[in-house]
Amino acid sequence: MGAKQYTYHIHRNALIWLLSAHFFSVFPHFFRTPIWLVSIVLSCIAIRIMIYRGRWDYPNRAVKFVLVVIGVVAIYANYGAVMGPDAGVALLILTYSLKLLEMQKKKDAYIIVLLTYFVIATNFLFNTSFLLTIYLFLVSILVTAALLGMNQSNQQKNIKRGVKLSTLLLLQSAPLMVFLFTFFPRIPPFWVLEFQSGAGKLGLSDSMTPADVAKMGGSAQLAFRANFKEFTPRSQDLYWRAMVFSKFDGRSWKVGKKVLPGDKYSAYWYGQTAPQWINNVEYQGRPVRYTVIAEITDQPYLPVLDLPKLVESETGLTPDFRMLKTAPINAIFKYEALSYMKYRLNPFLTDRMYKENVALPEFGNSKSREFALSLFQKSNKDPEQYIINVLSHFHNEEYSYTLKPPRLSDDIVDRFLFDTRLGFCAHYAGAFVYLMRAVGIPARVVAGYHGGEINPIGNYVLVHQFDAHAWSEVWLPSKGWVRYDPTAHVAPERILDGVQDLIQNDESLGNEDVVNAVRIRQLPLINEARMAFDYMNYSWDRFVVGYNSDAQEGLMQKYFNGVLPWELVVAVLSFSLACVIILALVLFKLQPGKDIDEVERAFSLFCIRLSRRGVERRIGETPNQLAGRVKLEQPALYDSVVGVADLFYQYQYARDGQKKGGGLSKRQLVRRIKIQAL
Amino acid sequence: MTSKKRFNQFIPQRLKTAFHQIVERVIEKRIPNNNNITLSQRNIYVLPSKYGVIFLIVAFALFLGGVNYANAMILGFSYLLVSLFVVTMLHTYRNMSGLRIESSHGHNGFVDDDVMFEVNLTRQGKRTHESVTLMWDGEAQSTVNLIDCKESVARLLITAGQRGFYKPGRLRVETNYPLGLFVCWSWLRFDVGAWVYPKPIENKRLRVIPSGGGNQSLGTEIGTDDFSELRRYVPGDSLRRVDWKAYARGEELYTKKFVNSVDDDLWIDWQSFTGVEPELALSYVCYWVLKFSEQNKIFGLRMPKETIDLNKGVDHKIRCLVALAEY
Repeated sequence: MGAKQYTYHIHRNALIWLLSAHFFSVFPHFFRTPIWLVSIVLSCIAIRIMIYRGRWDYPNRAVKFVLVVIGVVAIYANYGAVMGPDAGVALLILTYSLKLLEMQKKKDAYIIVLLTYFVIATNFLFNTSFLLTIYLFLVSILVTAALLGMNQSNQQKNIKRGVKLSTLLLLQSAPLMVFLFTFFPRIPPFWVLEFQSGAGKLGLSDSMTPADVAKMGGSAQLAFRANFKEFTPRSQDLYWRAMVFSKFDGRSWKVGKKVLPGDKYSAYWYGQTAPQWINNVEYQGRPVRYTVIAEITDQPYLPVLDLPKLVESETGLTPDFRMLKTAPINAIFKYEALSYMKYRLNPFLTDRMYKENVALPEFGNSKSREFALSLFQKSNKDPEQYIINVLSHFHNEEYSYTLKPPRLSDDIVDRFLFDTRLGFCAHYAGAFVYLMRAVGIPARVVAGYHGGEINPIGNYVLVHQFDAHAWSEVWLPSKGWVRYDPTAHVAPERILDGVQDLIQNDESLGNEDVVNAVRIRQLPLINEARMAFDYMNYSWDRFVVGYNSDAQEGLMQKYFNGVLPWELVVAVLSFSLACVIILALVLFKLQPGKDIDEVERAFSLFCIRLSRRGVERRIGETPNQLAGRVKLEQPALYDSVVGVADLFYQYQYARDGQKKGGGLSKRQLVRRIKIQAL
Repeated sequence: MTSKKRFNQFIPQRLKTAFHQIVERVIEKRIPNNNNITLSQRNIYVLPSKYGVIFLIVAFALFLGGVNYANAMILGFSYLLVSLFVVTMLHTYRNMSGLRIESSHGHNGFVDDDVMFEVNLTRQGKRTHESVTLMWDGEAQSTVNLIDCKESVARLLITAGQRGFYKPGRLRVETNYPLGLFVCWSWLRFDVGAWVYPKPIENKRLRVIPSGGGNQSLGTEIGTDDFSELRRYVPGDSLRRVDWKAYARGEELYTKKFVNSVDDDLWIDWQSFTGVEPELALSYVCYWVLKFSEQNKIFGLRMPKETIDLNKGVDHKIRCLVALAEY
């Protein structure tokens, strides 16, 4: 073992492509991984180059072992785990890069190349955009070129040839891939993986603590896109419901009951028997049909318009009418949705629900309680009158809407209602619900998104993280849950024009990200380009990334209605075979045929000219032999014949790697032969 | 390799021979002896290589990942790999098919030395062939590219173990190109062979009868003449004279030429070596045949069954050496 064993010297063509594929496949990960990992990757590549150039030797086993141990410990320290997408990918990158340093056998080189394909695919865990897909396709060409280089002989010095051929191979693979992508039956996940994609980290959290927020975050990142089938409702009517907070602990509003995936008792999942509570709702009027393409959030919440009906597989409804996915959204998720803008939700409230929605902490916020009780008295204990009075209180008093509220402490509702009077939607919704509950009216906070930006190209709605919003629902006898948006009474422009306009007027309100996004929207040409680009991404997400089993089923029903599953399998197999056969025909069209080389033809034309001068070329006579005979028979022609013979030899008998025809192109050779005087 | 050997131990010998016989019979039927073969679907076999299987495993792992993470793009990527696999199969096959392989004759050699076989590869039409490996009896290997040039000659050297006429087994033509995911191969039997002459061993046991008569023992006086020049290799030249160093540098085959010596007819008589073990005697005789030829002397050979008359030149030398090889 101590003695140095046989070392595989990887072909230069292969190494160049291998190292570049290595770098470019890891490159998109650089933005998510810690900087020390990036430097390990880069130094591994550099060391490998030095080894190839013979400057350095392979590091010994102890060094490699120490590096691996340090790396794994560092990853654990950084991510707190070695599993899951973030840490898992970091670990993969680490071992994959260190493997470069022990590429001593042909097997090792193969393993690295095959792992590169794997690393390329891991990028899709975090991003599936159109541009990244194109980028990764180009990286695949590099890896394939590396694999090709490993199978070229050392005589092959032409580096570009590998890339050309691998491009050809991948382009030829594309039709079959597209076919498989479209028709190969989509299988539902075997087991539900609870994993954080690492890409989300945004979106709504499952609790709301306005008191702690000094500045409404929000980002310019996209939350989801929605495409309405028949008509698009007005922007101010778009209340995208995602969360319902019915618990208040004096500081934070929390989701009433967390629902775990597959929890049959606390949610109604698509395809299961409908529970009793689902009948406690009346849908009225015309439904709105739309498709939502949700970005990765790592949460199961699916934003839907009030009030949703369950129409999509892998989704479920909770009794408070939140829509959930069976597992967190860790890849772009497309779902069909159906909502009724007019509805009567829970005309009868169960005891449990009633208790949950009037509950308040026993102590605290005494001023608010007193205020509520006196106002309720003034309203003749009529809930609807009371609501009107509370809302006009917000409207008439010195309340103002801001994205940068002061922090609150102690009795936060009191402090907000009577001292600061500055806040954003969460403050108003929270305070409003508190005032309702204080007099025994069931109420809850609903959070989600409001409004959205309409893309005229493609006519769909874009909802961003900065469109996040919170409002309230109050339960009224016989009317059920009714939506009230206190923010609309404080800052109607927030509801009518959206948060964008607000920031446009006062840039200090938003953070840098949002301000920049708003500024861009004011530049007409750039904004149009942005819309066009988004339309491209939207179409990509909708038709390619969002092509799931339901979409496939829809396609099948549309075009192959009544086709049995086994018939489909047979069809898929036979069509794949057909693809292969067509390709084979294309490939083998280059059958051994009579292709006469242009130079050879020029030479035989020259021989015909020569025969007119009296020297006939004999069968099997080489150009040199012919020249020899010309020297004897017609010495005057000798020089031209020798010249042509030389050109012909240079062309015909150049070895691989040598320049054909002494660097002359075919056309130049043909011309030189043609103009040779006789 | 070692694991393969370990595995082989568990297969009974009889089963192995039976299997080999069946394989041999099938191949014999499909690829009969011929000195000019064009590779086509009749004689090409394609199977995934070890790395091809690993590649499929990677594709399958990605498929599972794509299904479980409901990630259409990862699924799509796994489909791309599967498609690439299929396309590669066609390309690997294409890299062999249409290749014309010819082998006309072998170059004779000495025991423990190399015999050489020339294999001529020609491409047809626009088809190109890259990294095609030729293997004869497991040892002679040569990798050929046919991209820009129309034809190429592969020279395969096989170490000859036994005196006599050497017929190599099947020529294995193999390629992994382009991606190494498939092995594509063919077994070709060529009706070629080469004489393996006895190994020359230096000795002083020859009694030389000059044509003028008399009996004179020859020994050290016939020294090796000095090497004088190089000339192009001509079929029939001794492989021992080939300037292999120059060939390795990428030059053509050259034969080292030695200066001519004074003519003098001599007889090499088998009788001179009575009492010597026959194989050794043949080696001794061989040594003298070479020595005299080198000195360009006129000599004859008397063997128990055959007598080769006085003569000189390359053809004469070969006649003598073949007689020795045949003995």
